[in-house]
Amino acid sequence: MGAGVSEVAAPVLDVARIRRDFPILSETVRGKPLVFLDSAASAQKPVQVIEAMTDTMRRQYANVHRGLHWMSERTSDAYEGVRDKVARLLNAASRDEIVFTRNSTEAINLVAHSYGRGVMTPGQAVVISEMEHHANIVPWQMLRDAHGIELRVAKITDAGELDLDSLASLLADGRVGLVALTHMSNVLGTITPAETIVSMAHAAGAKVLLDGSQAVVHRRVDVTALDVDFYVFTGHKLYGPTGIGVLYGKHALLEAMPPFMGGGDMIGTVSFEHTTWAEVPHKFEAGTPAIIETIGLGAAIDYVEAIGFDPISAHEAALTDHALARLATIDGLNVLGRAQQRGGVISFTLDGAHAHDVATLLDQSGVAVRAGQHCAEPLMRRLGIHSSARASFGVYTTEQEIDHFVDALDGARRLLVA
Amino acid sequence: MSTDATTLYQDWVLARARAPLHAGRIAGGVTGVAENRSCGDSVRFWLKRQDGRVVAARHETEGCAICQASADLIAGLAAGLNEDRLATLWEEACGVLESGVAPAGRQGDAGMLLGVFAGVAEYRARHRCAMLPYQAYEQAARAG
Repeated sequence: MGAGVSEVAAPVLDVARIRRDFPILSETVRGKPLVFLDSAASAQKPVQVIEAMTDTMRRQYANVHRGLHWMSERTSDAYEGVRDKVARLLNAASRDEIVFTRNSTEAINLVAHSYGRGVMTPGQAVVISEMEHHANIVPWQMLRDAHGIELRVAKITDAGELDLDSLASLLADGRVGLVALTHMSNVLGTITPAETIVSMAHAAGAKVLLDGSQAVVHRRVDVTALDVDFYVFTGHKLYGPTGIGVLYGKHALLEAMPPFMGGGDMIGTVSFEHTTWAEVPHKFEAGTPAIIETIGLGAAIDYVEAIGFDPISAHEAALTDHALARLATIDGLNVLGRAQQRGGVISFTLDGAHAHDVATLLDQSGVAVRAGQHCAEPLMRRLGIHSSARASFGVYTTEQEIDHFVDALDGARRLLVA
Repeated sequence: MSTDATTLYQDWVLARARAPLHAGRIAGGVTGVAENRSCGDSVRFWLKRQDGRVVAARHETEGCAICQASADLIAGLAAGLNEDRLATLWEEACGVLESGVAPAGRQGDAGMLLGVFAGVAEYRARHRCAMLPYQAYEQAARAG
């Protein structure tokens, strides 16, 4: 099936045309048109993804890798074809460097478990930062507690950017085995300087994992140019389905790592005395994989590549600029972070109003935003707040929607703030 | 049933949240705390007993308007009702969360508490905001 959006001309997005690809955007919420500004939590799905998945179930489905029959072979081709698409998306040197997981969280846990316990040695350290999602904190704490790895936390500046001096000081003693950082903060929208991070870490003898859950949605990622060692992202934020994520790892590193989970499909031979492992990447993919979801991810990649990352980035930058300018007109509104490089994610607080109340009132206007701690409790503490609201944008977001959001937000302020 | 802003955020709810009547601490009182990890909200209750009865209740609440109002109303009720009657009222309030309908004719803090719960009933994600204070109260009650 084709990826669609073939007539969208770069660099300007035909947003009206794109919106027609997303059936859910014509729904109403509480009698109002849906204004979906929660794509950073999970993006909506285009009909191309929906149909790729339903077509698989209707016409071409069987288990993969193990059937000798026609249907299994064709399904295996479709499934493995997505590995090629992901490798191209990230510009990986080889398709064998792409491991399918359930999501970013599982991909990070895979590295923490397999690289952390299997390759790193007690006494080494992992560096994270103050602006990480819990998914890039807790697996390393578990590694610390189980394997004697020290966990170090790089500071962020008051502008919400990675403090490179802090990172340098944490790397200075040469004991850091891995630097695991977000490529784009899910709260602040900050895009971290990946090239600089990799360069600094490699100079100190450390490997680098980047959590690209947010970044991969908004910009072209080239793991070869970055020279990053591990890169993770999840399908459902990239307009694909839930249940499918990706770990990119350099081939030599994946080769050196022991399996994460045992079971079918990840083995070479099995006896009661001894088992050998399948080749990379299958060594890390135990059991029947998420076949339908993987094929859905392939359709999502086709979809965003047909639009093009340059127009996507330009569109989201324009929306972000517009939203920041409009939000600046609201009394008592504080945008979290003011990074020079940022994506289409804006978190904010409103003096005298709680984020939950703000979100509920926006919901009554049909506007969906996230409110709470955004799975980043330590960052909230660093910022000196308990919670915030967050608006995040996608390829289907319009300037008119942002205007509606800001107007509704100002209405909420008038009601909530005495 | 559908509620709008004026139902959920009635003037008296917002007024009570902005200017609570029972905020603060009780020196020497027993205390209990409840937290909502998804949003960082927290409620701490202090209770003072005399002859087995709660004679004073205070709270410190970091939370939304619904949580603030609920905490203040529960604190007001805790000092005036015996614990069994408060527990009965709480069960009634939980029922209102399910039905979305507050019984007619109820006055005072009890009527307002049931009104808060009726207003928030439609918003399942906000139920915890309304319920958090009672968990803190229960903890304090058990502690004493």
